[in-house]
Amino acid sequence: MSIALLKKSITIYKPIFLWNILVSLLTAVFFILNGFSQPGIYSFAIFIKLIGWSFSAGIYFMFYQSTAYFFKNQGIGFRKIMLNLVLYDLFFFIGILVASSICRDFLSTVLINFLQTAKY
Amino acid sequence: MQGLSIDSVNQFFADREVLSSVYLNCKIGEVVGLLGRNGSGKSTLLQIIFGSVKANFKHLNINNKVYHKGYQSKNLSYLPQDNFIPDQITVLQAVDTFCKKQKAELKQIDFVTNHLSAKFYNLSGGERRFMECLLMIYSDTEYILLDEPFSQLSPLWIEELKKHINKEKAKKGFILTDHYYQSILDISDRVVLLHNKCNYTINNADDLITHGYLSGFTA
Repeated sequence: MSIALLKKSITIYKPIFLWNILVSLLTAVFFILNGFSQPGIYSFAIFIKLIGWSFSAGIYFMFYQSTAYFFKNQGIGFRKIMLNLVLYDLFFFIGILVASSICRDFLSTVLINFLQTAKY
Repeated sequence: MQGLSIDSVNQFFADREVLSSVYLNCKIGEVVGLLGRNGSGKSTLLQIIFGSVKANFKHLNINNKVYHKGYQSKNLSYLPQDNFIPDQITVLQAVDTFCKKQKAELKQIDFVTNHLSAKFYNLSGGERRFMECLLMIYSDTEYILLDEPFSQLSPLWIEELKKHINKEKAKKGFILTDHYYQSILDISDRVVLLHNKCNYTINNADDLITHGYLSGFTA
């Protein structure tokens, strides 16, 4: 992992990063609503993240033709790129979870109010 | 022996054999021209060397070390036929990425200096191709594979590229292929023809007629 590679990855794979952040936010909602205490929700969240990462690989291949040689000319192949993308995303995800656990009371109130407003 | 060599390359696409026991090598200080008709496997061979296409069989050696994929050596650059630098990258970022050692030399070229802050999507097709060719020629690696570097370029820029290749070949090895065969003959120290799935050494233009690459009188 390197900061230079992170910068290049963000510049080039913006859609993948955005997708992963959206999935992370969605997953965080499950954690907040259920109070970090139910194992079933944890499993479901991890399942969603895994599906999210497999979609990331799909998005990567959509951009493969225009970006693969850019990285391969730097000696970086598909596995390394995907591994880095997943690692960076894990950091983002953990960050979101930590932030949401700190602000849990506030977020759960806001989210429940939001969901109730949306319902009616 | 220092150099790049690939041996016993066999490649099939479905049932069709494209390359059979092909051998190619390149040393530092050498420009190897690769010619062949459409579909003869020139680009495939370069992609196999670089590692973006998996061959049915091959033995790749770069500076006395065997590699499964050439790019993993971090000593091999490849210019593909299509644009490969993402649109949102600026010329300066690309120079910093690929040409750390020869940044100063590259920045002496007027075209590069004038477009340093431009993003690649702001360049025309020809300008983009020329810039990508320069980036690969001046890249930090010792071996450079150029797939149709002269396509989309005006004659003046083709001549300029040839000058840059000649300048850089003292410290690098080049393998290049193009359909502008006269340019390839002009610039290459050695020419290899891919024909009938095999490689043939070409000593002069007559050999190209003999092997059916160029039309000519036959006995």
